[in-house]
Amino acid sequence: MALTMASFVASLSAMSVTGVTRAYDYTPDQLSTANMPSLFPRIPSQRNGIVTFTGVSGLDTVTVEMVAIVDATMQSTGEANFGATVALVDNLNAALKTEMAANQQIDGWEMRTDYLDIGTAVYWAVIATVVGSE
Amino acid sequence: MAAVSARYTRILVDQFDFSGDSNRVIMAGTVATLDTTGFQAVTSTSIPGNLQGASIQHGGYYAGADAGELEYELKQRLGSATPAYIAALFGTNQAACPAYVCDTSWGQQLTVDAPIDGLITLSGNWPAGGGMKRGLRIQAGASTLSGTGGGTAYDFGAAGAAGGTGYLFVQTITGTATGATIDIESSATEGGTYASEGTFTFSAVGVQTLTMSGVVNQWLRINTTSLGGATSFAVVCIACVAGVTQ
Repeated sequence: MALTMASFVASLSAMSVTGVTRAYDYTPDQLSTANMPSLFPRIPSQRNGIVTFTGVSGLDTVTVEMVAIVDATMQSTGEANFGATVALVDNLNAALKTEMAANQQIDGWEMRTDYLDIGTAVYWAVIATVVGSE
Repeated sequence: MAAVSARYTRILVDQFDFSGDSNRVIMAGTVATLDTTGFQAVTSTSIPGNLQGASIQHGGYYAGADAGELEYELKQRLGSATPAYIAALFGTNQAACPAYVCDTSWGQQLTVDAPIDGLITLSGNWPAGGGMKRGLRIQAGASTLSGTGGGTAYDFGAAGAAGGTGYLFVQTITGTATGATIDIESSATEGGTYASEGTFTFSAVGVQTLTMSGVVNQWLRINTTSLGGATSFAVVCIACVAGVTQ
């Protein structure tokens, strides 16, 4: 399958991540606590460049952030949310490994945790920056 | 003076133009250093030796296994006794750009690199077994020749008195050529009378060479004197004038 941003986002959005209640294939404006933890893509970017003397382009390289929302910071306790965040890092990592084996367009990823403003609330989040190329 | 982008580079390996598969060309000329330091000298001294060495290193991308593709043609020439002619042309945004030709070369090295997150790349090294010649391009392969007659003339800046060498890279022939002929001609002035400095004769793709002798005038051009029955052909011609471009 030829690599496009649309296909890359679609395949990542369709990943099965243990513990995730709802997976979006777009960046939502609002989240419902009933859907926690949630997974969605955001900030797609792409790069390419000249690789030969006659102007042939190189690998299409795409980058997408996959965001796993754990819970609102005002919900539950810090201890519980931190523990859920760490668990979600492992689950998202495992899902990406499975996806990489099935979809050889993934080059790698980096993962971090952060607090994210979404709508009117702040959430515990796991953010995986996934890079693919073909 | 504006610097020129490296994208204006071409690499020719015999009749093949691998510029579309290539991303790196390094032309290296070397001259031996002869030590002339004597007793009681206060500093070391040296002079350049007469023997010059040269090579063209070339890197590109794997695009398939067929004949005519980079990997296949590099492998075919690896250690081959059949002379190969390699030309590196720089600043091809100018018609009469400088070109370095590795005369009577062979593939000295073939490296294939396949990084997990990148493209499969190839590189090779071409020593100049018959010496490196520097010349100017007087015919580009992009301009197909479909009739007889003289081409555009180019100013070499000065006349030469000691001949030179011409290289004709015959890249494609449409139809069948039997004894097609192209001359290199020179004239003292752009609009003057052009006289032949030698004739390339060919019936197939490949590289032809000719030796020019004596005076070679300041303006040079090609003159297609016979298509040899072909409909058209694409050639790259490089003229190297001793004492002027070499």
